[in-house]
Parts: sequence; structure tokens; C-alpha cells
Amino acid sequence: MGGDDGIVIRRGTSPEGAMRTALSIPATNEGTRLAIKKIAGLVDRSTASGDDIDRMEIALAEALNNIVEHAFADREDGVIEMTIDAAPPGLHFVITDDGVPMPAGRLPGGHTANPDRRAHEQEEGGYGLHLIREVARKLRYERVDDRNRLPFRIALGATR
Amino acid sequence: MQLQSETIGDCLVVTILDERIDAGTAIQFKDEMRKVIGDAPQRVVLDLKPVDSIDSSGLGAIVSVMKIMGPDRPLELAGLSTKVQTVFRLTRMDSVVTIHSSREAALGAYSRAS
Repeated sequence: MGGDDGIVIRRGTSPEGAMRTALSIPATNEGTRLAIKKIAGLVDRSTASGDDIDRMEIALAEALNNIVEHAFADREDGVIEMTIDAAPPGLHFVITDDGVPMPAGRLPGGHTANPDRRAHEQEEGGYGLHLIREVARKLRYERVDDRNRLPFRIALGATR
Repeated sequence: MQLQSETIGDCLVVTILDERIDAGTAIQFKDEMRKVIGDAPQRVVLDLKPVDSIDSSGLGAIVSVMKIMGPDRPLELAGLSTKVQTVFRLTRMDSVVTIHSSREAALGAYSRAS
């Protein structure tokens, strides 16, 4: 199904037999924001707490914004592909794009605020990768067939 | 990005009227804040009650407003949603910023202090 927002959602089965949802998402701030809202709406609330959903949305926002701002920095027509496989107790995400590769071919580290410094002395950037590492598990970055590939797992309704 | 600002005693309370401070609104947020804090009183409380979510770009924009305000005028926050609280906790930003449960709590803290 596809709407005026350009987001296409397909339901099916992964090669391993898991229930799969696949999405094509316009690589814009608006496109990724709407996609996250739709994905949150697809999650079975009987198996996920509000905190689980918050964490999933945080991971998706950081992963997708990073693609819009860096991989597709010089392109307006980028499309982000995502598969979400049911992997109880959680979801397995794979996000791919054909934008420019990560510098040095790997994910930067990211950092928290420095508790020894005052608020106005903190860095303005670098929190995104820390956030996604905090909320996602088994996060990797690969460059496969000229595409960036970001697999990770989000636990739902289970001990993390 | 819509803001509403109100001076209560010696305190400027700025309320963000958008649902999110994120990659799409961070620059506007910074520009609008720059306008209202220019000739503001010493104490500024940012009321985030209507804000449902914030991402790392939004967090960076808040830090950049704090840099504009400088060491003598710390920006205090109030009314964080559970999702916004999670972002502040996971980045440890909650350990370096004064966070009040609500705007009322922030103003109450002021009247007790004065």
C-alpha cells in the first residue's frame, strides 16, 4: 500500500519464515517522521510497553535522521528501505540506503554529556550514535552491493 | 516551530508549542529561542510540556541555546514527557541540566529561593 506521503508498506514473510514488514521511505525529515509514527502503530501493544515503544522510536529516529543528513546530504530523491522481522521477544530491523558510505566505513562512537562539565560546556553533537547504541542491540554497519546496511534488534516486552 | 514566552516576576518562561524538537525543527528552535532570550531576565525556564519527542539534533539545539546564554544564565527545563526524559537520561544530560517536573514546580522553586 502506498499513500500521498510516499511511504510504501508491504507485509510478507522473510526467507527464514518470520513475519516481515517492508517499508520504502522518502529520505526527508517529514518522510522519516511519518514512517516512525506508522511503525509505532504497527507494533502489537499487548507485547510491548510504552517504554519499549519509546526506545524503538528513539533508535529509528537516530538511524533515519543520520541517513537523511549524511548518506543523502547532497540528494533530494533518496529512498530508505527497511525490513522489520518479528523475532520474539523483539523486532529485527535492517535499514538500507544507496547514499554515500559512512566515513572510514564504520559507525562513529558517539558519547554522553560530560558530567564534569557545566551545561553550556557540553558538545552540541555526538549523542545520536550513543542513543541508538543504548536502545538497540546487535547494531552493525556494513557496506553491501554499494548500499549502506544497518541491522539491529529492539527488545519488546522482555528483560533487556 | 512556535514558542510562547511570558515574564513571571524575574523569570522568563518559554513554552514550546510543537510536538517535537528534532532534525526537522532544531534550527528554527534555535533561531526562535535566540530572539526571545536576547533581553530576557536572569532566569529562563523552558517549558517542554507540549513536546512529545526530542532527538539528538534537538538535544544539540538546546545545548547551543545554553551556549548562547552563557555560564551566568543557566537554562532550566520543565515538563519533560517520558520519552524526552528517556533521551535526557540515556545521554546523561539530566545530570548537567536543572530539570523541574513542571512549570509550576519551576516557579515554586523560585519563590522559595527568593
